[in-house]
Amino acid sequence: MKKYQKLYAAGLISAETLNRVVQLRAKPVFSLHREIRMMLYAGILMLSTGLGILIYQNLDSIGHQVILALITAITTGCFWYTFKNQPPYQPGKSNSTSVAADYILLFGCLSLLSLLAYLQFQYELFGTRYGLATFIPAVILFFMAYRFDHQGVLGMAITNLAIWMGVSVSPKVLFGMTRINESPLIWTYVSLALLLIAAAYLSECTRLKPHFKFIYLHFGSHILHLSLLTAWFAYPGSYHWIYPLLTIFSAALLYKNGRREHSFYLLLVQLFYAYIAASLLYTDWLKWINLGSDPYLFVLWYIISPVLLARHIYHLHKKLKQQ
Amino acid sequence: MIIYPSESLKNLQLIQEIQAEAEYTGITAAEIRDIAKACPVTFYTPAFLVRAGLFLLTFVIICASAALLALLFGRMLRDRHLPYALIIFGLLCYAALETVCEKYQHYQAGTDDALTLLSSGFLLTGVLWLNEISTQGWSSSTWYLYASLSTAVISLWYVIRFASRLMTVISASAFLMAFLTALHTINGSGILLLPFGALVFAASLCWLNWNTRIKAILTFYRPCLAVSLQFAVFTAGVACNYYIADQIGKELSGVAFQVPLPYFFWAWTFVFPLACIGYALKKHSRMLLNSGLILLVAAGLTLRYYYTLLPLESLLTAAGALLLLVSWRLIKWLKYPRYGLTDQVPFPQNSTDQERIDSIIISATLPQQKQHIPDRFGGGNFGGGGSSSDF
Repeated sequence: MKKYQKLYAAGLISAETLNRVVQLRAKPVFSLHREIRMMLYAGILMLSTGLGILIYQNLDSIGHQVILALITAITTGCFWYTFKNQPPYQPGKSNSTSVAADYILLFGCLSLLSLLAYLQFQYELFGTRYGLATFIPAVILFFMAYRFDHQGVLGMAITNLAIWMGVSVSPKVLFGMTRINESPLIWTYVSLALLLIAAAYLSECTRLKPHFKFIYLHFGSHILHLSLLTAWFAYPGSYHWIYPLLTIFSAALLYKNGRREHSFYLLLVQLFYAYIAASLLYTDWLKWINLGSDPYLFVLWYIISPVLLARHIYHLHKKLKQQ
Repeated sequence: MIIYPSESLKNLQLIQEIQAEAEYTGITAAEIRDIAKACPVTFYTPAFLVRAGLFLLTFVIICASAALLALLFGRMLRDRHLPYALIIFGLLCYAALETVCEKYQHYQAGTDDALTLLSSGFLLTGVLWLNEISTQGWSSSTWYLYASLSTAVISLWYVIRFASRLMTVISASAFLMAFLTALHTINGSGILLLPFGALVFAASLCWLNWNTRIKAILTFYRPCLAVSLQFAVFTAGVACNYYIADQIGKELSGVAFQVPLPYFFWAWTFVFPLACIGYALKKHSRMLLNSGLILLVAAGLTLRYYYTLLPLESLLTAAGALLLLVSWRLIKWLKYPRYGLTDQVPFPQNSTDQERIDSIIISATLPQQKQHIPDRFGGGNFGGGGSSSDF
């Protein structure tokens, strides 16, 4: 309280702010917003996992129709509640009026995925058109994400789009590079990344949920750079230096965009991938000039280059803060 | 003693407090800018991402420098010289840390974090290695006591000089370890001494935090005090948790160990977290609330470890449904402030970053739909000459 009075006396805060502080001191409030959201998310995760295992274990005793009816009822209930409690669609950013509705939509989307998977597994709803069985959930999730302006559901939709294309974008797979280095998959990953980057620019150009651009670019840039860098390991040939070069080129393009948007996260991601690619190129170059086994040149690179990069990050951050 | 100028530290604390309270006080961004102008801070304290980036790069630079020095002077060194080499390199890193903090005023900037961690790591490894060679006749408990005291003293210096929160945790853990080792050395058969000794340690840390005179003296170490209080709460919660008492007893006195005063330990396992949550809601302390919630989860896991009340899937379903119900009721109940508690803050700050982080967490943690790959061999649960049941 004293500090606010001092600030008011120095003319740094308005009387209105000081009044609010006085009222707050007389009747203090404590927000449980984050904790309740955490409980909601944990509840959804536990309930969907528990129900999934329960249903799987009791398939024979419950019966398929009963289970289907149950999942359909949950999905319909969730979507009904969301449609009832969320504001109507608008192309720009719409602020959700209810936290509960956001999480119920998330639960509904999870149940929908289970329902479609169950129908396909038990009744072969989509027959042998397996692509359709993954494409339709992705389309529904994209629709829900745009209709209710939910970035979490958008993340789920992107994950399902990747599954339809035959790849996984979970961090475990991407950063562990466990499946990504199978040669045909690298190009699927590259296509997916280009698709997502195109979607990012389209959302900006058409002003259709322009704030979704960040999520598209986040997934797109990570997938693109990781797959190109993996190609360097997967295709050891005389021209494999082309992949780090492509990484630097794509990172430079995305960096330019990050500068325009003042998004420090995107800038940092591009800088790090470009740095890894430059290090790979340097190693290749050392081998090419027959100095690959010289440890001094190798170690010196890792002393000088991080200093230069750290300097660049320092100045970049300063510049962005001033703008 | 602290390396940073006191005026800047005071101003930084003021600005951070005002920013943290902004969602309650409704102070405008322009007002915060004016305050920042009037109370200048000479430190370089970047945002989290830059801090992480600078940490990584400093780590690479130090490791590469160590490799370069090893290449240059490695041939001159023998095995017995290695601890000295580590201590010298640790001192070089420490000198770099002093320069970065004093000359360039880096405060929680990533570079100082990496240099703190690496210089203390090199120094400590060197000191312990050096003494391992000269103290081979020591008993294991004397050696543990020596190692934990060395860690505690070195990390405490970093706390005093750089007000490092990470070093506060390391220092407090090392002091606790030294205290418990000393207790066990004095009375090896008194297993109960350990949990109660840890409780006494936690209580003394709490006293240090709540003593207004000490708080006034340590005003520049407020972030370290907050971290030590959280450490004390966790220590108190974990020390008398039934599972921990049982495991320590089994480790020290054999598998047939039975926890003495089991009712006390079971009661503490559940009552302490609930008391923390209750007290946090009364005193509006987010730190205590989060600690209480984590300890409550630990209590639930402890109960589940010893008693199977329900199969895992039923437990998950029931707990999930209960959590959803409770949170839904809480949202409804706290729509308007009650007993000083509310769901929404009066002046919500920009939530865009939070939404983005949520979305990334959701896509990374929620279960994914499996790909439906056709059965290439037409199924058959018991085929294949009994090689498997599902091929």
